[in-house]
Amino acid sequence: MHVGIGLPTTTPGRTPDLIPHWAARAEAAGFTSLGVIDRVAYDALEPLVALATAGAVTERTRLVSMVLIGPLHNTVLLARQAATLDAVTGGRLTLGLGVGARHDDYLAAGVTPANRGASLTDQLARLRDHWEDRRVGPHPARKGGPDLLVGGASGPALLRMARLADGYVHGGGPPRSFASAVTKARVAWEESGRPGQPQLWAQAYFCLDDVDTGSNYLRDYYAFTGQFAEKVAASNLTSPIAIREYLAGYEEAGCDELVLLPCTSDPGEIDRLQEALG
Amino acid sequence: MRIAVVGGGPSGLYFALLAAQQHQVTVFERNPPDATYGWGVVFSEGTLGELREVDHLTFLRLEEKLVRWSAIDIRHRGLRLRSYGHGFSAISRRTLLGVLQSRAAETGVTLHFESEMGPEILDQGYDLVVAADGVNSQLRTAIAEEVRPRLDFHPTRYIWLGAPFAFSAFTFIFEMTDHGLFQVHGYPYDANGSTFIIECTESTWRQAGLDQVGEAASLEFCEKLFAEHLRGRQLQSNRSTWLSFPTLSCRTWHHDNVVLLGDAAHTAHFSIGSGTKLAMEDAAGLHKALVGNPDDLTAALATYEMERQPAVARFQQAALDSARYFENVDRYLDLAPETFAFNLLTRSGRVTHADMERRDPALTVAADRLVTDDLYGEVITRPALAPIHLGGVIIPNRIVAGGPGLGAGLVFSRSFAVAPEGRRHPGDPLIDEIGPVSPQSSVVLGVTLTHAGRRGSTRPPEHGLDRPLLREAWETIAPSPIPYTHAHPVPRQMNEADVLTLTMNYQEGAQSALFAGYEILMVDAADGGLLASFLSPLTNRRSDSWGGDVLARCRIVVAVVEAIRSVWPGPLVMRLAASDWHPQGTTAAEAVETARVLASIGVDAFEITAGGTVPEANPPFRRGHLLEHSDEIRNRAGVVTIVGGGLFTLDDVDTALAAGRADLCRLNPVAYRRNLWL
Repeated sequence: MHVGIGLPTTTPGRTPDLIPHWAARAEAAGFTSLGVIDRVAYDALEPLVALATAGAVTERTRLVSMVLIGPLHNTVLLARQAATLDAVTGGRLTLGLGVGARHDDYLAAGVTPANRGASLTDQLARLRDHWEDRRVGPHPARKGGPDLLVGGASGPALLRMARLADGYVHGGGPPRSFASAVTKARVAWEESGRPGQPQLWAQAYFCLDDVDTGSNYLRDYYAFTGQFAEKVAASNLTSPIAIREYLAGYEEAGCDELVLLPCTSDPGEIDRLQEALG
Repeated sequence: MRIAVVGGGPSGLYFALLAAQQHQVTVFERNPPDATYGWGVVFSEGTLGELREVDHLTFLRLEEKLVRWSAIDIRHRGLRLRSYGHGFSAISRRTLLGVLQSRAAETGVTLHFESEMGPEILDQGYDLVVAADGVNSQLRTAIAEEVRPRLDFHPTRYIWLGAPFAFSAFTFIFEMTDHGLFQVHGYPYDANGSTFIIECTESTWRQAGLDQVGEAASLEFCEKLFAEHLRGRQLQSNRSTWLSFPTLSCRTWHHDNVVLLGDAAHTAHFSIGSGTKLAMEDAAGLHKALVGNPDDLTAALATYEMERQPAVARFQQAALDSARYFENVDRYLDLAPETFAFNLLTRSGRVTHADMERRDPALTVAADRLVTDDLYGEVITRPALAPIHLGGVIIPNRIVAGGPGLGAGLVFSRSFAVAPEGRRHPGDPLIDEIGPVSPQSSVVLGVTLTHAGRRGSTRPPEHGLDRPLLREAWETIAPSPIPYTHAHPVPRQMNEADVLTLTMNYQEGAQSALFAGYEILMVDAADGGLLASFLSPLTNRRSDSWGGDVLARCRIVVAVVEAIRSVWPGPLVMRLAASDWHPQGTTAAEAVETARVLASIGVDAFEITAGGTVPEANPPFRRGHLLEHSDEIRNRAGVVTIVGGGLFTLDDVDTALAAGRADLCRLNPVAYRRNLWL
């Protein structure tokens, strides 16, 4: 299992040079991917621009969105942005897409949330078509374009993943809930008759210093979910032992890459996480 | 903290006595201390172990009152089959409450009996209000907007009675009547009493006239029906009525300082006997969360919910599977007694073949023997490795695979399209590319004939399915001119000449397969291909003789089978979608009927799949999710079935085979990657 780290695109107290600094330091520390999450109606950096910034100061690290709220984007422009990011980083983009969970993001973007599942399904097919057909540019670095990941635990979401994506990205939770999602993703893949196996990605929050600030950020970021915010805060990984146990559980469940997301903008978290991983 | 517990049932009392070590706890119970509803409650060994850890004194006092047993009796068609090794215990509800009440008093809990308490408790300044007031919780109703309760009623009727004697085992009784099947879930709770729950389907209940009679007449009916088992003793009623069981789930279990416990938060069908167990585990879980978060009630309640919700959800799924078994027991009445028993004991998915081997080796061996049916005079070690006769061919084991070299007994080659327009992707092979194969001793080779119908003319599947070709696309055909997605071109509606050509193409394919040396032929009538779109009402809107009711919709498959049968003498398998995962799609009864019709004209086996018909589907993906469909078609239509759908280990396969849910299985590809078998 590979381990990646999130970019601090949603945490408070960012300085202008934080993202390039963080990205370079994370690559030097050996993390295999840099992840971004997406929220429109919040003080959050735009995920693809943030990934491009990170891509400019790194050479090997995979750049992954987990997940971008697909239906908020015009599909042709998204295809071009993703192909550009893939082209300028030598094929390092993995594009995770989902429908998101926040009504206010749709409201802010002026997009109706009705049929968002169906629009994402349609978008996945058309993104791949654009990358293959090359009627709009640029050409992605890889033939057929970046790998696509899809999140969501419902039957239709799993079907969408198996029919039109290259893998599954889990939304977080204890290893046991990830294991159950993996089973479903594998069954969906098998039933759809796709060749090979789905890539399995996952994410979790960690905070190894100033846990109160971290927890307050999580409560604020997830405030729209009501009590779920408390659960996210309660499952924050705040000790090296908790992180190692979590990793072992995810690896056992078949995770290909786990991205650990920061709760503060302190780059010291990169070193603390590296140390915790041993 | 000052804590109010509303409801003095097992969960409320148990939580109160645990929490009273640190907090000031008051319990409000609307009934008097000795009132009781229901007879006994059952625990598994696992639950007891947990109770021992949580509060040893309570455990010791309960333990001396417990009735323990390890057998399950299955009484059916005048036979009694006893299965050993299961490890249950039970206690009378009255005794349980008595022990908990006295422990609560000892630990300093203030107990108010005959004290009805509703939402007004919320204004009385308690730091924490625990809603342990049962499935009809008034407190939950007060915060319904936040916790979003959902009740699903099971389509059976049941009545909760007592019997004045102790069964010697957990006892299932099945009695057939002119009105339909009745079953009993019975277990002893002390030396002189048993819980005696009677259950039947809604239609049986109405046909027996039980919807028209009162308590006394109901009781009389039941006593007469189970007279042989009661041996002259009377059943006991406690204002018992026939109910539909509600499964309750809530999105969250707490709001502000109110938290739901036990039946107020969730219920699980009584047939896995877990209500009290889950309730007491909730109590222990909440206590533990409070201890772990002494200064942060919000975090404690979130932790409680995170720990308990997934555990309860797993039980609810198992209970749902168990409930569905009892809704459909009539489908199993012709199974051999050992297979019937094995199916019953593995119904909830929590007990597998490997568990059964440990618990009851004798029954497991007996159930296995019905599968392993010694063909070569060899000792067959497990059902998955047993040979099977299929249409004159012996398949050396029960594993079906899509590629060679994996140890499977039956290996299918790639699918061959019977016509160029029937290819799904440009690279797909056609029947004239079927090349010769040489027979092998350890594996039977099969070949699949397919026609993609309206799912044809799409790009290669490596990066996703159902994306139409941009260049060099071809015209697709379908029963009705409905495109697969809005991105697909509209398929051409087939005419009579197309149907004739199609049957001839299948015949030609069968001929090629025969010459090539394949031993088994499979026809694909699933995955949204051409034949599948004739079978489904979602995609077949024809008003001529090829559309309409289920018999009309399967006419084209009948024509294809007849054409193939005129040239193909060997085993013929039909790949069939048991469900479209769509509310207006093929029904379970239609799938059974289709299998019956096709079996009568020479189809030897059915590979049961689901979905693919339309992309707008809601699939219930999980481990073994197709087993229920295979079980239904196999046992209702009396046919041989092959099933996959999330079978990951040989144990999964053994369980399905010994329970009579399928005859051959496909493993999920990850099983081979991880080398989980052979």
